[in-house]
Amino acid sequence: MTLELVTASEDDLKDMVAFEMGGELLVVPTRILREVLEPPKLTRVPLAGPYSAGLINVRGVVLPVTDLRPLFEMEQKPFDIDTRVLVLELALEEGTMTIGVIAEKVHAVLALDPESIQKVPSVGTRWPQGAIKGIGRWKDRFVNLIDVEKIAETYLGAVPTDESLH
Amino acid sequence: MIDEETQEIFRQETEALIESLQECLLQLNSTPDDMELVTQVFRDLHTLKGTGAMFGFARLAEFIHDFEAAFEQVRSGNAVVTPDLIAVSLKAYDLIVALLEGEEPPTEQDAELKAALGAVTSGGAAPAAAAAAGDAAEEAPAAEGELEGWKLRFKLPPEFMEIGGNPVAILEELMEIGGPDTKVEALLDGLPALAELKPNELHTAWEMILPPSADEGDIRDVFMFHEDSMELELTAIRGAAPVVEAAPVEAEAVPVDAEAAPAEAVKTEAPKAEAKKSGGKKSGSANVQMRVSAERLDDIMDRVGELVIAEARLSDLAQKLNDPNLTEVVEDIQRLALGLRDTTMAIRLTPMSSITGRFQRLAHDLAGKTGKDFDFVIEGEETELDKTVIEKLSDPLVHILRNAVDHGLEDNDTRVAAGKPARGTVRLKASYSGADVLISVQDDGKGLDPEFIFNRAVDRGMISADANLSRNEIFHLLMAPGFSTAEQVTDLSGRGVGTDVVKSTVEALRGSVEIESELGQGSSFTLRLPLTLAIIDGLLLQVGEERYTVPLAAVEGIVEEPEEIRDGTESTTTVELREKLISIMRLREIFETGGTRADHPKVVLVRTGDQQIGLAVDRIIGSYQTVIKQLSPMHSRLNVFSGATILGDGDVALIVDVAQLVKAEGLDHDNKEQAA
Repeated sequence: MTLELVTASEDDLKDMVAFEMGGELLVVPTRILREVLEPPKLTRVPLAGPYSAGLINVRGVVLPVTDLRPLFEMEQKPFDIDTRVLVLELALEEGTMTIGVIAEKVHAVLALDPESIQKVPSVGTRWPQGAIKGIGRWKDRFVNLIDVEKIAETYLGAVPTDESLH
Repeated sequence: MIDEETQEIFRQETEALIESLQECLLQLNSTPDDMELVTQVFRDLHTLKGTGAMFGFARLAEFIHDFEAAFEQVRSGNAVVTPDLIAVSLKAYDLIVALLEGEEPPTEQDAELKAALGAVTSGGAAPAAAAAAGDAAEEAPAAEGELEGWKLRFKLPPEFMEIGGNPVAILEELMEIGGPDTKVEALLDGLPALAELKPNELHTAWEMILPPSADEGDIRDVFMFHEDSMELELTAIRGAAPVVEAAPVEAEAVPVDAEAAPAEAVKTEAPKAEAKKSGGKKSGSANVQMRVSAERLDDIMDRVGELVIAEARLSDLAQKLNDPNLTEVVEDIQRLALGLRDTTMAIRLTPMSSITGRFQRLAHDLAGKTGKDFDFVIEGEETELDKTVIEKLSDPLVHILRNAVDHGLEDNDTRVAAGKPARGTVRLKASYSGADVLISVQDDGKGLDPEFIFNRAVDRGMISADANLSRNEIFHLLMAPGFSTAEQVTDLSGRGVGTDVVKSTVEALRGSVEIESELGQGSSFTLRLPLTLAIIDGLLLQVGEERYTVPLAAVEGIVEEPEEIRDGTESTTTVELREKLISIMRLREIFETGGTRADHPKVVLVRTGDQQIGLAVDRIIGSYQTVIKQLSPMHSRLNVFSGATILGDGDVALIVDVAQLVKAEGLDHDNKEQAA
């Protein structure tokens, strides 16, 4: 799996944006990053479940924002001076979806050494099934390659509602 | 040969013609003497033939030619409209539709239908001709001055090849019409000197002599789409007989060009506009149409949406600055923006009548196949819906209509025995209700038997025998996949396939299906669809610190929240308002908004379906131009919100779908009845 992963996204690995949440360092390819926003005013969506942070207006376009911390079982600390929203464009099976992801702090753009990428142990991590593509090393820290597409498809599309009972 | 794009253009071109053709045929069935309709059928066929030939649908064009000939017989009084003719014509119509859709039905069908068309028009000719012998003799002097052939001289425009024309194809087509006796000569007098010769320009003219068997209309049709920029001379070569008498006959034979082509030698100058006009829809209405791609319309819609949002911000600002000069300009802009909005939205709307033709046809066929006599009544044809929605509704309505006739209506004897009029009635009705459109199909047949449906569902293993279902829930089993009430599977319906399509299609459009039925009295299926316009008038409400919009069209009133329910914290309650018991939904509790409670909370009375519901809110902010932004997949499954909108201050507000909220809170009929 490691090899497959590395060949599939070797270019991506050279150009990753790192951000922090709950003390963990996460990376996504800059290829899917559209912009980084100061936390805008969020409109909460009632009944939308814990992963929905709400809706924002980005120059006339309404975008959903997700807070992945509940999914990763991290504490939701209030927005502060470092908080940002990463606007990501995801290529999902049903088409592209533009979504904001809350980041507690955005670090830097960095390149990862493909050799350093390892599989995620199937037990003993906080990451839910499929959420992480692999774990790499950058300086002396672990960086987690999160699979936002997979997360969006698996965890964000299925909003728990009463309607599903009907 | 034909690429997809061409086919699509062609399809669009012919859509209106096809609808008109079918409609006229069906109308002719009830008013066979209406010569205007006959003429319209003839024109539609003629235009279809020409368009078909241009786009290379050779088989289609050839078939329509004979179809057209049959109606020419009627038009000229040599045959009359009979039920047989209509029946055959409708079959012919089906073949045309099949060919247009790129299907390849067996070719024998063409011949069979042609023969049938010939038979019904010549068979009827005898009595008609006998009866109207005098007229016929006058109108159609049998042997006009011996036609010996046609002299055709034409010069295509020089840029003909550059615009993609193929002169060889034209020549071949003419040779085909004329047969082996055709003589062709190229006229090279227009050819410039070699030095000036441009190889991509066409300088050659042609002269042809065609045998008398060639049809003038056919010859002209070859040039149908080039006429306005070319030179064309078509002269009849005649024997000694007087030419004057022949004139009216000629004019009859080529109706489309009648005005432009007075019988004899004619130089066709610019008949294209004429031909188009007369070939267009009913009585060539002066309504000029233009086809625009849906994508472009959506672009305009988006821009108008942005404009409305910007306008709202401007109004906000003007109110704060309170400068009378500014206010005046802002009011002007507001008026213009709203006008623009309304016009733009109207572009996308199509009346129901654009698809009712096919239902009339269906009703006609169903009557024939089932042997049940019934009246098919259409009401509210003028009700307008988004074009894409209308197209999607066609299939579900076909299913419902079929079921109504096949399973709903009893046969005539049974009806009489039950003390009902022998003729049944099926009604297709469209109307507005608040922010929804209702489309219903009602029949006065035997109605739905809940017990029967329940047992059937148990047999099918769809529900358990001890399930406790409301009457309404039992009716909705009809639309569950795999359910079929037909004792015998018929050709028409009852295959158990399709009825669930009704439900899924309507739900995909955010609508719902309502079923009502009285045993012995009839049933009605109602599709309730939200008006999915991109901009609506909304009422902006405040709940806690949050703002929500509801469609203003659904709002029926606003009252102070009655004291007795102010302190409750259940999400729903009931209260007597204006001497009526009304369910109240407390948005604060349902949406868990928190925030401080207003001193004078309000209740907004909204209509959903046939019930009135109160929404308890903290404050009414006012009516608002609401540009609907679709929710992303992340939130769109939450159907209590139909979208979001951007407010004047740039914040996002959610649009509440009242009907869905009522459902989610269990206040809709299903649950009510169960509770009762």
